[in-house]
Amino acid sequence: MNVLLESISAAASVAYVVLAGAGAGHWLSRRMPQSLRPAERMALRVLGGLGILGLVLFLIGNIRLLPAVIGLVLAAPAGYCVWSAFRNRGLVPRIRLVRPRLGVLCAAAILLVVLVSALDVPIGTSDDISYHLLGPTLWLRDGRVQPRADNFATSFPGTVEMLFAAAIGLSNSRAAGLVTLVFGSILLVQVWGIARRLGASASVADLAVLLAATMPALMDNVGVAFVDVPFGCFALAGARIILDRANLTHVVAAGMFVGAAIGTKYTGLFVLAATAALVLLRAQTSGSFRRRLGDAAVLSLVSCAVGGAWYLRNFIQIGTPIYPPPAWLARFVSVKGMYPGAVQAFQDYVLAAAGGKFGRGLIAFLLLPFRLTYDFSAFWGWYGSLGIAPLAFVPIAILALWHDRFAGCFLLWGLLLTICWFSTAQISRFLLPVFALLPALSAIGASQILQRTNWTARMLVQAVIATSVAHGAYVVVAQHWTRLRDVLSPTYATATRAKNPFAKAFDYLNAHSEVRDVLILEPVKSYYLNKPYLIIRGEYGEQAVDGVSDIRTALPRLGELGTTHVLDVRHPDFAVQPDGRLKLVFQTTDARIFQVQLDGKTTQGRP
Amino acid sequence: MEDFRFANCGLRIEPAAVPLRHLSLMAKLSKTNRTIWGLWLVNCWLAAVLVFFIYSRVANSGLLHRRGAGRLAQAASLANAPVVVHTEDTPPRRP
Repeated sequence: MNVLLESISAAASVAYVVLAGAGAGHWLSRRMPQSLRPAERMALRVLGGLGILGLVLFLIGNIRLLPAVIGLVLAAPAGYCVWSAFRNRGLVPRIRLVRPRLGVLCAAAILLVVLVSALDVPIGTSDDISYHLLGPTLWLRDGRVQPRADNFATSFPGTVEMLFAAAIGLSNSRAAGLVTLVFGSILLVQVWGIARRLGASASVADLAVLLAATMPALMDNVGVAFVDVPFGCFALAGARIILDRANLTHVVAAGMFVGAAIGTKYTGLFVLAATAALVLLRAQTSGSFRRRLGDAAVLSLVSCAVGGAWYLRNFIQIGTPIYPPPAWLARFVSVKGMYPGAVQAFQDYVLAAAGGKFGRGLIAFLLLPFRLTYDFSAFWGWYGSLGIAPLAFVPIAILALWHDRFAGCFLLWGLLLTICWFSTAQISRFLLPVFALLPALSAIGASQILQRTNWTARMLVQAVIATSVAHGAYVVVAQHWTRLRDVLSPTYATATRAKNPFAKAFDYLNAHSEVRDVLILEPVKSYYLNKPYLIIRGEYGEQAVDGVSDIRTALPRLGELGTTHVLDVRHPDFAVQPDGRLKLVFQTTDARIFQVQLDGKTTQGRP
Repeated sequence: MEDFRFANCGLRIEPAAVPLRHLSLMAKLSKTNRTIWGLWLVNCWLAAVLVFFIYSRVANSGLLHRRGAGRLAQAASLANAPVVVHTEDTPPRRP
C-alpha cells in the first residue's frame, strides 16, 4: 500500500511538472518550423518548457530551493497551460489519433514495463545514485543549490537535475524515474517525426518507433535518473528545427533547445558546435554566407544565454566554468577542492575509459559501427544494445537518401558529434543523440529493400528486424527487471536493499537522533544518508578541507569540524585505529561507526 | 543481345560495333545484371550482419566455452599452466 501511495504521489508530481512544462513551452508552439507534425510540435513544446523550467528553478534555487517554492514556481506555467487550453480549444490543430498499429503497440508494451520499473526507489551504485540524484536530494535538504566539495559531479550542469529536484520535492524519490520516462516518450515521438520528415510512410515511421523502443542503448537510460535521454531530446530538437528553419524565430527556438542541452551535460558544447556548423554549411534556406553567419551567432548567443548559467556559477564559485577542467583549460584556471594530480588523473581516466582503450586512430574510427554493434559492452553498455538493424539498414538508407539535403545535413551533424565523442570520452550513452537517429534511418533502409528486392532479401530483412526487436526487447526487460521486481514485491525490494553492504550502517545513522554530523572516511554512496555529512576524500580525489586527507589528519580537527560520528568502511581495510577520542557504537562486517568523544564528552555537532 | 547506354554521356553503342569482350566489367553488366549483383550484395550484407550477430551473441553467452575451444583457450593461459618439475627420469631438454 505504501508503494502504491508513493507511486501515485510521484506520478501526480511528475504530471504537474509536465503540465508546467507545457505551459512554459507554449510560446514555442508557433515559433517552430511548419514541417513539424502536431504530435511532434506538442512533444517539443513540453520539451522546451521543461528546459526553461530547469533553468528557472536553478536561478531561484541558488537563493532558495524548498518544495513550497517549487510548487509556487510551477503554478504559474501550469495554470497558464490549463487556461490557454480552455481558451484555444478548437483552434489548435488536433493530434489525430488513429488505430495503433502492431509496431506502436509493441513499443507501448515496452514502455509499460519501463513505467512500472521507473516507480522503484533509486537503488544501486551507478551515476544516478552517485550524483544525478545526490545533488537534488542534498539541495532540497540544504534549501539551496550548491556544488559539494566532496563530490565534484554535483557542480555539473543540471537542467534535468532541477526537474528531478522539483518532482522529488513535491512527492518522493520514486518520481525521478518517471521524469526520464516522460523524456523517453518525447524521444520516441521525435524519432517518429524525423522518420516522417525523411519521407517515411506512417507504417515505416511506426517501425522506426518500434526499433527505438527496443534499442537498449536508448531505453537503458529511461526510467532511471540519468540525464542522457533528456540530453538526446534537446540535441535532436535543436538540430531538427535548425535544419528546417525559415526565419530568425526558428533559430531562436533551436538555440533554446541547444542551450538546454548545454545546461544538461558538458557535451552539449559539442552539440552547439555541430549545430552551428550546420547553420554555416547549409545554404538551402538561409541565403548568403553573411546571413548564415548571423544565424550561427544568434544560435550561439541564445544557447549560451539559456545554458550558460551553470558555467557562470561554476566560474564565480569554483573558479572554472568546467569542473574539473580539461587539460587545455587547466592551464588558465586555478582549481578548488582537487589537487592538480587528481584533476589530471580524472581526465586521463575519462579519456581511457570504455572505448578509449581501442585508441583514436582512423582504423578505430572506421571500425566503430562494427564495434558498437557487436561489442557494445566495451563502451559500458549491455551486449548488443544497439541492435543489428542500424548496421544492416543504415548504409542502405544513406544510399537511398543520398540526394536528400535534410537527411544529408542530419547525417553530417551525427558524424560531427561522433567525431567529438570519439575524440573525448567514448562512453556509449554520451553518443545517445546519434543513436536516436539510427532507428529512423534503419526503418527507411529496411523499407527500401522490402520495396525493391526479391523474396530472399525480404525474408532476410524480416529476419534482421525480428532478431533486432526480439533481442532488444529481451535486453530492455532484463535491464529493468530488478527494479520491476522490486516494485511488485516488497520481499524482493528488501532483499535488493540488503545487498548494499553499508545499508545497516546508514539505517543506524539515520535512526539515531544523537547523530548530527557524520565524517565519512572513504567514498561511499552517501545518497542513502539523511544526515549532514562530509566525505574526507571523494571518489576522484576531491578534498573538501585543506590539510585533512585521512583519519590521522582529521582526528585533531574533529571538534573544529563539528563531527559527532565517524563512519569507517572497509576499503580494503578499516582506517580507524583504537583511539580514546572515538568510541565504537556500531559494527558490521563492512562498516564501523564511532561516536566522537572529545575530553570525555560527546560532541554536539555544528550549530 | 541488348543495347548499352552509358548513364552519364548518353552515348549509344551498337552491339555489333563494340564486341562485349572489349568493354569494362561494369559496362558488360547490363542494368538488370547490376541490379541482381546489387541485390546479392544486399543479401550477403544482411546475412553476414545477422549470422555474425547470432554467433557473437552465442559466443558471448559462454555456451561455446564449455566445449573444446574453451579447453584450448584454458590450456593456452599461462595462469593455468602446470608447474613442471624435472626429475632424473625426465631430464630437461637441451636446446
